[in-house]
Amino acid sequence: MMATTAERGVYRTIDFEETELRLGLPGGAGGGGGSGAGGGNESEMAKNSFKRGFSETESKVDLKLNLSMTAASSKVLESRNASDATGNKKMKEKVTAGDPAKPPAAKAQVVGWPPVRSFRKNVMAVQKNSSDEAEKKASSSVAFVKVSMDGAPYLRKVDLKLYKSYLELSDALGKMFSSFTIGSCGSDGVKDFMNESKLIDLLSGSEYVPTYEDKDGDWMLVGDVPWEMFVNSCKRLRIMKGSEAIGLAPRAVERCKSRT
Amino acid sequence: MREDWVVDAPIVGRDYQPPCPDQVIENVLENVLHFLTARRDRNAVSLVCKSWYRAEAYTRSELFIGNCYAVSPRRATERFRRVYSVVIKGKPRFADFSLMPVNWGAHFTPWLSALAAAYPWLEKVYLKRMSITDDDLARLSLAFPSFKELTLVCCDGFGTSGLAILASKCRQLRVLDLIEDELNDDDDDDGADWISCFPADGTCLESLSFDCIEQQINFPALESLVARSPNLKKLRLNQFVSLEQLHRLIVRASQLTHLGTGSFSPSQNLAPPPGPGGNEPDYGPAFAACKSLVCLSGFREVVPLYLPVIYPVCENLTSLNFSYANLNAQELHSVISLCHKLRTLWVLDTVRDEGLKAVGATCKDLLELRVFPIDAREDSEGFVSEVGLLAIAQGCRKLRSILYFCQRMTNAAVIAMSKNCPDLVVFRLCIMGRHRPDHVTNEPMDKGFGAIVINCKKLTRLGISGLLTDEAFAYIGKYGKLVRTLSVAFAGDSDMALKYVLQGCSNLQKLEVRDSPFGDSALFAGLQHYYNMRFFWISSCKITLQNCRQIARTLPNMVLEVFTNMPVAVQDEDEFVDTLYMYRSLAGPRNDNPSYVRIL
Repeated sequence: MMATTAERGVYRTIDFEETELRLGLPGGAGGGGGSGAGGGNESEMAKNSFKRGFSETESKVDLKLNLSMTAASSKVLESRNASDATGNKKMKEKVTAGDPAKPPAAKAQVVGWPPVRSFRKNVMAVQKNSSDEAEKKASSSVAFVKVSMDGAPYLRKVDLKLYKSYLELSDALGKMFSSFTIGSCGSDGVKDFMNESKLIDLLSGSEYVPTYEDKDGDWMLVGDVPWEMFVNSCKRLRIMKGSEAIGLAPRAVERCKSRT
Repeated sequence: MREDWVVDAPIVGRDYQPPCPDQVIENVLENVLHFLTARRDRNAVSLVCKSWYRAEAYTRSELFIGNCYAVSPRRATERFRRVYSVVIKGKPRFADFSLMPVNWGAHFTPWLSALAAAYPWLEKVYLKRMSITDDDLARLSLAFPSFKELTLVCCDGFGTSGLAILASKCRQLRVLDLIEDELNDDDDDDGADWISCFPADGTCLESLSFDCIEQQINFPALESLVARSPNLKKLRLNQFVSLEQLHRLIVRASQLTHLGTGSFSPSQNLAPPPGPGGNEPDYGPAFAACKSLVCLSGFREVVPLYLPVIYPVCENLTSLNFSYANLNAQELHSVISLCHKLRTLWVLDTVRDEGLKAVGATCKDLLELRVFPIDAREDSEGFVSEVGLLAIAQGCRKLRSILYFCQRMTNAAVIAMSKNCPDLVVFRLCIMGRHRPDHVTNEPMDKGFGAIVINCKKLTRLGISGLLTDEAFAYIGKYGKLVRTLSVAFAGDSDMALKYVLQGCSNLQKLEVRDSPFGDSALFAGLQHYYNMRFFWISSCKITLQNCRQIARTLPNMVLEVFTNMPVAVQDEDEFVDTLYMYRSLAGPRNDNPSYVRIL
């Protein structure tokens, strides 16, 4: 039993460590800090980055972390033990709850856990936003939006809170609608949309671009605003042909201009 | 068909031959079998001998297909010839939690074709987790002139235009229940006005549920519909129906037994201050007039100020669904303290442990309780704990089914429930934070779940969570002999855990496992048993592709599907599979799977 308790402690640490790594970009260029052993596993990491589960921590990341992070992980364990006088149980709770100073989204969210249907999650999210009491609590935990793609026969719903950047979102959308490409995105998905000439090129082509409807009912190009702002204001996503999105560009181009 | 045993021999003088004893027995059998409704009994009957098989097949009027891919539509319709009611279930439950790729399957269309050809007299269709298109709805309306009841639970693929066709063509429609479906409507503005499509001269409607439709409906049309549906007993509205509108409906339909109240809040354009009295309709008497009301739900945007209007109906309520209502303990108490006959209660954890104490104090006949989290994240605060569970255990001794989401739990409380509520059939405890131990003793939750399987001898469905070692599974395997459905997530230490279950739970039908350290050897432990199960789902564990292939070779009557939750196919070079979904099938591998769902 002792062995397993220690094992479990390590797993919990790995969760946290993994979170830190994840603040970089999975699978993309310059992904993550310090995961030197990453190499060949990165494509798998990208594929699995939306299924954060035990198997990933155990089988893939475990190996990497043991190589390069053992020293760091034991340090983390130590520091947490020291700072937390109330003992083991609290430590576990703290680790799972994440650092209170960081926003809740810093903790890697697992798909489909807790097992509550998206219909219910969505209803709750809307309710929480509209009640006074809820404003004292953490901001809305889910942000399900409908995603449609011109020409695709089905709609999907995605929870924007599952992703931390435009690149993650575009990866997920790309897989969902497999013929869709967001066009060229460098290590920073936002940046490319800020680049005026690239934007024009993109829009005049037949590649698909993602657009969204915001709270005010305006349709905008995705990538216009900082990620957090986007998640809070996006009501619905629509993936349309680049040429059709031209009408939306002026606003985006304007903003590009005003920022440079 | 019937040519091999004749029922009535014509009486024609010297040529008269009395029916032989076998035929007499079959006639009698057929008449007796008409009274046999339970599926399991019928299945047993059909195994006795060939003639009993035929007689049973001829008299079965409800067809239940637990897995739409377990048998081909044609085979089912060829065996059972006089079916009036069909139940078909498609995707496994984990599909509800975004664990399956889009377009995985479970299409109703091929079933519809077979049903339309075989049973033109079909009256009832019940689908769960199937994809049904607007075209399907149109074809259904035309294929079955006597069609009476359509129930769709957790389905997708259709929209309001399909409903419009159904409403206008199925003139004998009695039941249209849409429960937690995901409608396809692309643009909120383009939804079809299906409410207006019901027959203008009056309808046979007895039950209409559309609380999952996330669009405005044509309210005047709804009012008129309710007015011309004298048999309407069950009406469940969506959140776009305000309190004033609800009032207008129930004054015309005081015969209702089941009511989904919609938003339960006044519409926005009422001048402040809101509150009973003033220029608002008098809701109290309207509710009081509904003397047959036994089931209330809805309350999607509840304004607690208005709760008193339902007080008059509380004493007769047997079912109350507050699971979308953000109520605190006191608000719940004001209602629940009047509900002495309550058998089913669904609430949000905003009512806290105090609210559950009120439930335990009043609802002595409670059979089913579900406590949902308002904040369904694993690191959320969680407003109920072992205190609430204990209060329920102490108060509601007749409890049969519980689903409880929390963040803090103790073995002691679970053990207490196992002793106080021996009639438990369904026990599903979801400690949302992963791997959380008993928060008082810091031990794993093994003993608690162990007590449940030991003491609750009627248990058939179990959902486990929290920090669990192999010990918990040893208990389940040893004592959970009646368990048919088991749900496992983030639990166990080794393959032994799964082995205990696969080798011990002789009645296991549905096993869903995710994110646990189980590998190939665990899978082998169940080889003898898989064919007795409806399905086995295992995802994010340590199962190798190679092993899956081997199992597929060893068990030819099992279908093994491997996929991820994205439309990306599993590659041959992959070592581990993300998700393995396997099920027995007489139909063999299906041919409607998308390219990213591989069948081994």
